[in-house]
Amino acid sequence: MSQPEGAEAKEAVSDERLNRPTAVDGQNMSLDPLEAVAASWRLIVVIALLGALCLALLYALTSDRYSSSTTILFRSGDPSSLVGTLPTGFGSGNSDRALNTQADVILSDAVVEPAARAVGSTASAVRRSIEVETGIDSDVLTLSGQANTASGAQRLTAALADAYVSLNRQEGVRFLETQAEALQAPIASLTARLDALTVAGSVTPADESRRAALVVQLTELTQEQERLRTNAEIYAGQVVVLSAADKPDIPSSPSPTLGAVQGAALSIVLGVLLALARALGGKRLRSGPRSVRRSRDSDGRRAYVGRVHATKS
Amino acid sequence: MPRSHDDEAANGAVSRPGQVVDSPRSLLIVLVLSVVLFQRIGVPLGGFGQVPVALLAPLTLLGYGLASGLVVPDRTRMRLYVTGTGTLVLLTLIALARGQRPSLLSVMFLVAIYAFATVRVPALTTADVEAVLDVVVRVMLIAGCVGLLQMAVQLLGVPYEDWPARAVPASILIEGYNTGDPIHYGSPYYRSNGIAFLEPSFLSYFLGLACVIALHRSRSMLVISVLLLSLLPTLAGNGVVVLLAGVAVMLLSKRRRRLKVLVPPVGLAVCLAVITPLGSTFVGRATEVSEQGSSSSLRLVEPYVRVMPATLDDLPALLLGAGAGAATDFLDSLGIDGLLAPVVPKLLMEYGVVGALLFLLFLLWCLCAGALTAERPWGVGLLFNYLLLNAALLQETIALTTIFFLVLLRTDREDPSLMYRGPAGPPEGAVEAP
Repeated sequence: MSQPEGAEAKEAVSDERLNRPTAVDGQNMSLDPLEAVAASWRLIVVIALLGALCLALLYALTSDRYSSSTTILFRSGDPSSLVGTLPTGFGSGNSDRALNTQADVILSDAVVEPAARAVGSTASAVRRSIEVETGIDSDVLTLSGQANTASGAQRLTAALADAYVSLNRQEGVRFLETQAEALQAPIASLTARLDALTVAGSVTPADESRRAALVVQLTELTQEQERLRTNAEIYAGQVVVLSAADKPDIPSSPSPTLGAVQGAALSIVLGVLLALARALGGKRLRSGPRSVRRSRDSDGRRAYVGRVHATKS
Repeated sequence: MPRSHDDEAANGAVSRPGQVVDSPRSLLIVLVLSVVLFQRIGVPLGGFGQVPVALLAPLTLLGYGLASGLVVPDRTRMRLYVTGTGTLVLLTLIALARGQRPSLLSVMFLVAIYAFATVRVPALTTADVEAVLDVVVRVMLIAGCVGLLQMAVQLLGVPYEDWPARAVPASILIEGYNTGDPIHYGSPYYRSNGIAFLEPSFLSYFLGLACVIALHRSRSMLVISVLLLSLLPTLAGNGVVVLLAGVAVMLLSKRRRRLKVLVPPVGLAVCLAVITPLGSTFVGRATEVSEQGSSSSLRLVEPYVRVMPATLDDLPALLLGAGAGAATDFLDSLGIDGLLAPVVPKLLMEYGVVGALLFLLFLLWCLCAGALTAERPWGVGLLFNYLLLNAALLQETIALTTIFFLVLLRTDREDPSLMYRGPAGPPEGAVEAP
């Protein structure tokens, strides 16, 4: 039923006021993503199969990699405070920082080079094959080493852990020995002063008192030096290997089956996107039933709801 | 009062008996409520993490919207999406072929989240947009009051407790967020999160947004005062950023007169901030950007300083990316608590230059048109929050909220990519509704 001109004008004004799109851009309405995907299902299946096959084949052709790991407890603090005890929970003020520093130490030449020598490799190759993880709110470090064989991975990880433990112990021993050496000068000085008093042969009460004080000081320093030297000999280091490097039973590199699943999953997404791209390119515009309904409210205004399918151009 | 047929028509909706979501307005209201209210709930996937209900529910609504015709794809945005995400999926396949370990869940999330930016709601009217905005303000008023109550109860001596953690199995609560966060280390008082929000900063973000909407919609001084006061116990800057950006945009627009209503509540908030320790905490946070290790520095400076050199030094990684999820793994490996991966460095590190540029083109095309307009004063703040302040690329709540308010809540008349033809007849072959 045609409307009079005045009614059309009134309708346009009311639509404008309501900010309602009275006519929708046909170009925009032509794409139905669900139908675009349904229309290109063969393409999606082919791409999914291709993706699965390619990745599975690639993983099958790539040599297996094995990964071995070991966990190490790092106890921060002064080495002299750790001797003879195994403290379970002491704070250094910034545990995260201490642990991150240790992770860098493990990746440094001081640890990597001895480990590389032990497994007959180069430092750069070892560095590429290892990972260090620091636990959150934990003092435990996890070292992982990768190699082409299970025993190779275990050997590499164990060598790295040994090198780190050894370096850490040496550092602590050096620290304790340096402290003991530093006491040698005051001990020598006290001994000289004591010798001087003995040579002078003075027997006044004041001299006797000075001599006794010097003897006490000398004894204390000598005992402290002995204690530090003994500690250096028995010092075990700040790190404790909690679990030795394991020998992996299965490769850590992805299997062809996993590759097929991953390839298929990503390729399906890629296929769906390609199907949408095809539809957007206009090659898959469908003809079919138009489901747009036009309703007219009491004022004679029109409102469209539903889907519109473009005809094949 | 029952709505008349005229009202229904004016809303561009045709009632469908038996369906809850029967109009663009109700679809968008259900969508935004599912994003806001279900943000703490997830579906556990065994050893593969969780899928948030705040993503699943909107995806279901998107599917329903497409099937029913309430929502239609926008060709320009869809082209950019297909190009951008297609490149990222292809780069992920290449990363797998190169022996890297990209996170497939990460790239799937990306494809799913940004599908929302490709559609528009053709029958949406200005009245619908206003109705949706009013619902958001009402919901956030309730959430704000809950936040204020949370703090008041603590000040009365009742210790903080995360109620959802008691009521809901732990496996379906989203993990990895500082939901219960003390005001400072060792404090018995916890920042308010409005119970339903992932973190106090999320509550702050939505309160700031609601505040700008309330100003835009000329809500009463009481409403704005409650929203502003509710920002205080969150002790988070996200909402303040959205609010300040919104106020700045309104100051430059014809709506600047509406800002007069802000003066008394801001005065009250400042007084409260001065007489309580909250003020100094806010000031401290606002001036900490240059301090290494501060929350702002960890968001605005450190990610770029850390990620950019690691990306630029490695040519293959610069071209092809280090694989989906690599940026998060890299920043986690640094062991710096609170270090986030914003959108640009994350895209650059994970997908390389080409992938990042193509996806950013899609993102900016979709978001900028909705953000840089005086008609939506919340746009700049949301964009700033999305691009810079948060690790928002795959954070469904922030990403979907940004897309919702900048892309979906836009009438066709406002969309520059659409050629509006003016009043005309129905499309050829359209069936007249009975």
